[in-house]
Amino acid sequence: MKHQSRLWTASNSSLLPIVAVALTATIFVFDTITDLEIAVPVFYTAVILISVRFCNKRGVAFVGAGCIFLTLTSDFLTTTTSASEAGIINTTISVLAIAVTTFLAIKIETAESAVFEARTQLAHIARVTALGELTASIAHEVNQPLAAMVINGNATLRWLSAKPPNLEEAKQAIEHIVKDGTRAGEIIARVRAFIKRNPPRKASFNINEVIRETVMLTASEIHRSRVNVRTDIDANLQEVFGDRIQIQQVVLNLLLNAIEAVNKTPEGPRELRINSSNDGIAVALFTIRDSGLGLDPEKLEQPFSAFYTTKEDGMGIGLTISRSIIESHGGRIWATLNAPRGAVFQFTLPSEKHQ
Amino acid sequence: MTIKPSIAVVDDDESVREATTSLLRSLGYIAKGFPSADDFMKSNRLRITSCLVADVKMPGMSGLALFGHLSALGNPIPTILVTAYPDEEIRSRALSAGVTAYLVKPFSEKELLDCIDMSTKHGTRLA
Repeated sequence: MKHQSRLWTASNSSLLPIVAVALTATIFVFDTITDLEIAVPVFYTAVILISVRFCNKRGVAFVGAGCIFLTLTSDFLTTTTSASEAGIINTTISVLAIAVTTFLAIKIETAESAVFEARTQLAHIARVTALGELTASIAHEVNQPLAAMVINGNATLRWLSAKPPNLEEAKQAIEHIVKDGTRAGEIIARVRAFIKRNPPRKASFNINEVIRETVMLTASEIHRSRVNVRTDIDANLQEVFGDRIQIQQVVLNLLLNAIEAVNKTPEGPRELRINSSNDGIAVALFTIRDSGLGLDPEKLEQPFSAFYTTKEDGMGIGLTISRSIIESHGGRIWATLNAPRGAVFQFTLPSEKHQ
Repeated sequence: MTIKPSIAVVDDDESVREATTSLLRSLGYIAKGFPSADDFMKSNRLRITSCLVADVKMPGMSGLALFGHLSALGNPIPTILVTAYPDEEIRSRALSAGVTAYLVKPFSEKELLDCIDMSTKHGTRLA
């Protein structure tokens, strides 16, 4: 596990450790003031449970040991009454309660780490699967610049062997070769970045760029499906803070779903509209509208449930993972009906400043 | 003065379109590129185009549909279809409809030139 060597894990909120320390201090003071027959130290169990939020296993064990130490220290300092039997029993009960809670807290922490790890792996699998579906598209996107480069290369040879050699045309052709080669390289680089099995890396970014890249990635799909995609992005969209690859995964998932929905409608408009906007002070909103068959208005949550799919060979986890990603970033994702037909999928992400 | 054969290149991919026109010009042809079948039809070059190089899959009218359209108008231009998605069914349909050739991207220069030679010599173009 990554964070074995430290006692605590990185957390967005630095409030919890402060609360835990304050609570510990309060309990210690009360414990010392009151006599041994009142089992105040049992309240240390709350401190231990709070520490699960920001400590790893070793940290929780350390907190547990610390609380037991404080309990015994309090006893030592409480010299007002002599050690009565009830007092000793109470202390023993407190120490046992703390020990058992610490043990269970460590188990909780282990379970939570396992869930996090499993989610990360699942998100990765979903990315790989999505990419598999896009292989034809990606191959096409790379094939076009390659074909153009070969033709330009041949053209250059001809221009240079003309009598006299046409250097101007040859130069232009070579410039195009460089441009196309760079374009192909960029597509590969983006695919690589998308498929990497890295732990989530948080940074500030703009959703508009993610939208642009994702639309480019699916350009072939869009062409093949003969869908008309309109993108209306807000140039002043607030930046958000999070893992860009994961958000791209969500946008890709929604875009592919929308294209599929439109593909299934035999006649009628074949339109997709993608929007980005600021929703209030601190929220960025992404919207995608399709003119497909739409959703059951009574069951708008159903597409998000695990293993629900309308595809023949679908796994049904795309939207589930998308929801998990958006929610772990502090946002919301939901579906509504589009008018006159089709579905609207939207998600919000808190803007960077308010993390 | 001999009129140089004019070739129209219809492809929505800018890179391929510009590269192809550059190659054809370097061989002495007059070549003009069009981003869509519609743009080609709306241009005033239909009569002077002696050969058409068109991509099969384009948004809007496909290359094959363009050939069919021109034939129906009584104005068939010898056409070479190029595609990144080779499809046997479309290939046989195209060839039986009278398309000169069906090339798969990336095609070699020789293939393209052979086809153009073939179409300008044996084309159904009437002067």
